[in-house]
Amino acid sequence: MIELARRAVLALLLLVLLSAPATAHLTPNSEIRLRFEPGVVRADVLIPLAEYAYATNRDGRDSRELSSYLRDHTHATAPDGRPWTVAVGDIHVEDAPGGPDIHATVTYTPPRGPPDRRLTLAWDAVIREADSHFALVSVEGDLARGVGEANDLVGSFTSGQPTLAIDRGAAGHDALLSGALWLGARHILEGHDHLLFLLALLLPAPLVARAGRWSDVRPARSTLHNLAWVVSAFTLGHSATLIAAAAFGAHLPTRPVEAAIALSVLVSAVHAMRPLFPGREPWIAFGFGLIHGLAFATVIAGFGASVAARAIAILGFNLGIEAVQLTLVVLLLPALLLGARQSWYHSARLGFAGFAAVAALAWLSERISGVPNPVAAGFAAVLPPLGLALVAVSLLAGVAWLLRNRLMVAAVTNRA
Amino acid sequence: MSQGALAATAPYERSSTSGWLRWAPLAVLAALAAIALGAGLDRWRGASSRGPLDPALLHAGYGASNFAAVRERSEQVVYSARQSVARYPGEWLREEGLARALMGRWRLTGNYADLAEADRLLDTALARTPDPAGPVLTRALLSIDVHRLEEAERALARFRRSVVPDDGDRADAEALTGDIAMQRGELDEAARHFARAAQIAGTPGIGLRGALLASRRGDNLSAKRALEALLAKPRQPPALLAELALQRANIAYAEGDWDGATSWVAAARRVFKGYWLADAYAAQNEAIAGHSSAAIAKYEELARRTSRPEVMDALAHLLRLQGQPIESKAWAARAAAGWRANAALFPEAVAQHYAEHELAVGSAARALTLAQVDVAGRPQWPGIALLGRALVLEGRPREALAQIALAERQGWRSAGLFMLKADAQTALGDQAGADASRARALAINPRAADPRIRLIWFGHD
Repeated sequence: MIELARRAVLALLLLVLLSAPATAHLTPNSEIRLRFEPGVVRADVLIPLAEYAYATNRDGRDSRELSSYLRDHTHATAPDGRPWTVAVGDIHVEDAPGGPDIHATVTYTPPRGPPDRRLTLAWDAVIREADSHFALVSVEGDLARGVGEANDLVGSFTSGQPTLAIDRGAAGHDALLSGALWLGARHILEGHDHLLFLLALLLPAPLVARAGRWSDVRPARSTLHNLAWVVSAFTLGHSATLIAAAAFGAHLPTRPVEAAIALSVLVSAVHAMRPLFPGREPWIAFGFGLIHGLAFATVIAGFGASVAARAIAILGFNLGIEAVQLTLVVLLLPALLLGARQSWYHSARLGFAGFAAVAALAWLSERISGVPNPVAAGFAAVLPPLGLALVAVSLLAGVAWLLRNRLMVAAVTNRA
Repeated sequence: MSQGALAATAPYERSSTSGWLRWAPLAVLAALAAIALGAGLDRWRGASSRGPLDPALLHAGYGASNFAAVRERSEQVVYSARQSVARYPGEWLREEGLARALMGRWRLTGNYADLAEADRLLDTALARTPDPAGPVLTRALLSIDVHRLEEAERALARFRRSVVPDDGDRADAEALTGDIAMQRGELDEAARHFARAAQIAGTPGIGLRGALLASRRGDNLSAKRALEALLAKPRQPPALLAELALQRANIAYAEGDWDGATSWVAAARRVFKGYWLADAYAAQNEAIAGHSSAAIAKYEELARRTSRPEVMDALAHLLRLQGQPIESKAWAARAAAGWRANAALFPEAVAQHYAEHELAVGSAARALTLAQVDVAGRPQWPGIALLGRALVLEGRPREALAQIALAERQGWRSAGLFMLKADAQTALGDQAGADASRARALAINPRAADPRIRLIWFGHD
């Protein structure tokens, strides 16, 4: 009897041996995203409100209190030990998927003399009071290195590591120029809406409008002239906004600007189907260029503290945009010049313009409603391969035309 | 009918009867074969087409169907065992019975004083009994419970010197040897012992070990199959069924199947009412569902009802995440007092849970010390997770990566492991490595990066 009971109890004991293992439970961490600009480093800081409350026993709703707390928990020093100036800017609480966050901007300015890209950054907000908290640090923008909106991981602040030595290397004006150029090029390559707007505007460039329709084909010289005007007007438009934004710190909310860009794609797509403003394309390109420039301005918001640095960065950024635009126009030129003389160009133009119009509508609805749209996501996925295919077709058309001309020249020479 | 006619038909009838008799056994055999084939086919079909088990269909068999009754029964068992020891002092079998009764009550209440008394009883009984006799398996079990692995090994070695141990004891000894291997991070060795134990006697406890081992190696499919096979067995005791259902919920959490986990927890609570651990899981499910106030209320009620520091820790952690620092710190202080008291009796047994407490609602520096002690004795994943996290927080991510590499070499695979690895790589600025580790974590648990995963305190990997 005792033995039976022994076995039964032992079996049960064996069973419950393995329940509820211990493990490492996470608490939300802070995030510090740095932007290296000429003469200044800006930090975009997120601190989970609950963690701040846990650390300080305060509710975190008093922005002056928060500001003072942050100033007390961070500092930066130059390699020679001199302190950088720390200023806490905008600070507010905002909702996030994991709970509300304190969102703050902190500006670190180096003293006169030492480099502005080498510093020892100290941070122990929340960590000082609760050592299980940590803060992730990344470089979100560094123009001289071509880091635009990506995250370049640096490391993390923990109780065991309250300082990080950050060295972004030396950067002269040439590095700033090339970094901004690369950023501009990447921005336009990744900004499908900008490219689609331009392409839709180029489609009717080799055609002449007559009686409310695109009918006759322009001579090649006139087409080139027209293309040059459209591209230059677009450049002029977005450059004007960029320079204004940089000089006066002009900013518009992102959503209406993005919606206006989608609208510009729609208008240019409809114009490619039926002439809405024949002969006035450069003016339209200039007008919408102003709006596209506002979107570019959000990228160049952190182009540095000094006027000279900003001027160089804006120049580089614009050059990058122009380089991509011009390359694309040159690559598509054979298709436009040769295709316009073919019978299928009419259908191709309507098809492409229709495609651009639907993409624009999808973007427009997404940007107005703020709700992600699967159609828009689908277009974003399709556009890069489609663009590559267009360029390939255009190049093939150009090569075919050259070969045919050489053969014809050879035939005429032989006959002669 | 004429005579002639009779004479003419009789031989025909005789031959017909003898023909029937000759074929009858064959027909019976054929019928039996058809029935056997049908039954076999039916069984095979049943086994091969068995889909996932529905937690709502779980039905308990005999035994107390609520925690209070089991608790009351454990008091009676302890009382009877005490009477028995008092009546026949010096008999090791009765002392072992009391030790086991106390261990059973400890599991229900978490009162380490019971475990300490059982520990003393077993020491006395073993010292008095000539080798290899004595309560060796119970000694080994208690030693494993309190993470004194060498002591457990000595007890098992003494057991193996027994002349003719019965099959049940041999199976238990193999399972316990597997437990020791698992706590040392020797997963292949553990698997071998569990398989051997299962060959000798396939009890649910041994089956559960196999399932758990598969899960810890990242093979959640096998773990689910094994657990559901155990759960599907008819007439299981309610307490056992609830325990199995919670283990199944753990696998659901590990895969990010939070709805599934909620169903399994509900099943555990239905078949074994008032079980504090199932109630704690239910509170955490409320928190995941976004009902923070309800979760806090449930945890508070449970913490008061059970006085278990792990429940207080879960509550303090949730309160921290909810931005209620004063309440969080008050519960954390109560939990810390509980862990300190338990650690005074069994430091090895408590080190891991105490480290977990310090990491979540205490001090990372203290967590590091505790986790180092724990991993030195038991280099296995849950302990390595705590040590790794503490090392990252103490600014030693390289050492954390070395510990994680050790766990990977041992064969542990979980989303938690890869997320911790990603965090250590992040601290070192290794973006590509962190991205790759995060992708591996998400492949195991698509919700590994969901902020709500922080709310999973019980059964989290």
